[in-house]
Amino acid sequence: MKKVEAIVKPSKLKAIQKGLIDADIPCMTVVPVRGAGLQQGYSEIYRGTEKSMILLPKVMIICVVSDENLEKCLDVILDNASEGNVGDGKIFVYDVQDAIRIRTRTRGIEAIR
Amino acid sequence: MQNIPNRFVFLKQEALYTKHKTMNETATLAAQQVELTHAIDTVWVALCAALIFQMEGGFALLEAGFVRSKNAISIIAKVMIDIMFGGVAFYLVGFGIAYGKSNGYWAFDTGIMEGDLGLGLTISNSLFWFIQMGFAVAAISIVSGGVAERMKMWSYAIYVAIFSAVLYPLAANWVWNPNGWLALRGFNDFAGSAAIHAMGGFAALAGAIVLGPRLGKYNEDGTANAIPGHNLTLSAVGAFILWFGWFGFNPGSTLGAVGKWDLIGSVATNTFLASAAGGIATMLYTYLRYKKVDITMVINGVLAGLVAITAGCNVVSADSALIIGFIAGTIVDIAVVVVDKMKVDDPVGAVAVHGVNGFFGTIAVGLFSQKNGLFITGESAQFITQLIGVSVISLFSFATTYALFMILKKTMGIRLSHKAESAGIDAVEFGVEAYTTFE
Repeated sequence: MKKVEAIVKPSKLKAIQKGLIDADIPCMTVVPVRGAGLQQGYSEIYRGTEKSMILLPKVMIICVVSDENLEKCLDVILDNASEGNVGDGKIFVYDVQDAIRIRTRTRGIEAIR
Repeated sequence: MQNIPNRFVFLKQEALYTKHKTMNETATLAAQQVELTHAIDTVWVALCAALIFQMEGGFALLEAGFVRSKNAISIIAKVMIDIMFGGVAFYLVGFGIAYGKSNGYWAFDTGIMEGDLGLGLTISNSLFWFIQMGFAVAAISIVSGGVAERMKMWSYAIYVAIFSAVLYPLAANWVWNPNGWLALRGFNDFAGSAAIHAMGGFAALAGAIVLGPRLGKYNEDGTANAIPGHNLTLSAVGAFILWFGWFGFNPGSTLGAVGKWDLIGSVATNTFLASAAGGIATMLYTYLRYKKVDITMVINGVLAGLVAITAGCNVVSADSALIIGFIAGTIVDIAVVVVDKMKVDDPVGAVAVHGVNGFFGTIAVGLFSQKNGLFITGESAQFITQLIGVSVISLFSFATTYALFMILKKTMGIRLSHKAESAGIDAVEFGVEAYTTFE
């Protein structure tokens, strides 16, 4: 099992969600986040004073998928999140030790099927 | 059919009736006319007083949106203190000082006085008190913005009571009491650019200076940091409520409708035109200067236009109102930056909007008045009177508030601990958060 954390532009969320549903891996958790990449945020003028290091709004999509679904999941996200520009986001992949479906107490890979 | 009189017969009867009216009937008609005048004026003033009162909701939302979410409740509490402590203090002492028998500078009366106040009122003294109470709490609410995010609640409540019982009523006495020294000089402050807005704005300046800036507002090298408001949608709603309420604030200052319907029309029109021009000026200024429109400044620009037209909306033309609003909307942008540069932390722009534009609006009467404005008629006497009046009121407000804040600082303290300020006033003083999460 792998956990995928994709930090993407908020406007890409719907397309990625649809892509994952079409690929039959629809389970996800989405968190609104703010962050900066190598560009270190941006600056604006607020009431005549410079407001620096403003973090950009992003969404973080968290999916836990089986090993065989991992590449399919990554492809869906990459295809739908990419504009080819700075600020498209990042994806991180982690190993998952266990998963439990609370209703049935099912454990392991069965819990995410 | 024959029993129903036709129109001709009816008119003939009317004419006969009028012709043979006795003196007694004429007296009854006159009495009815007086009664009707009082009733109509009462309806108008009661409506406007309610509009003025609900501006407090506007202040609360505007200020709450401009501060950080951890202090949103504290600002709501401050505006409630303004209404409750300020309103009661204005009943017990303030109204008597403002509208009692004045020696030109002050008066000593308590409660709501009976009898003629010398103002030619066609409304009851109690309704007059109610609309004046709305003005008094509006003046003190200006201060609540300037001292936001760092002041102790109980110290603030004491200041509110003193301001509404003594300080504001003294200014009102000078400007609006029939024997006030400024009133006798012909000072024109129709709805209170000087007595309310400059008064509140310069009090906010003094308060903000004595309190010192919020933690993190200025860096060690003296540069300022922006501390953005947490909810500009709330601020905008607050601004719209204030904007709406201003059509009670200014047109209601006619204190009657009978014989003044023409004045009400021009006052309302001038009020709108100045506010719109103020907003336009700020849109242009921020766009040209910073390349983006700063909507928080546009809100301040609209309010600046409203504040500036408040003194002269009864004597300037509609074209002049546009000019006054446009100038006010430009001044406010500069004033916000200047106040920031002076190391005075005014989270909501109370000094720039109310203080600076209250001052400008008052002298603008001396420039643009149709009767005796310097630019319109070339006479300078009114301009000088306006300048003297608003300067005295501004200095008076600044000095007394500065002294009061210093006394409070030495006795019970005015500033929250650094720990409380970082944690947020809502959690420390009120034990709640404005936006609770998880269900």
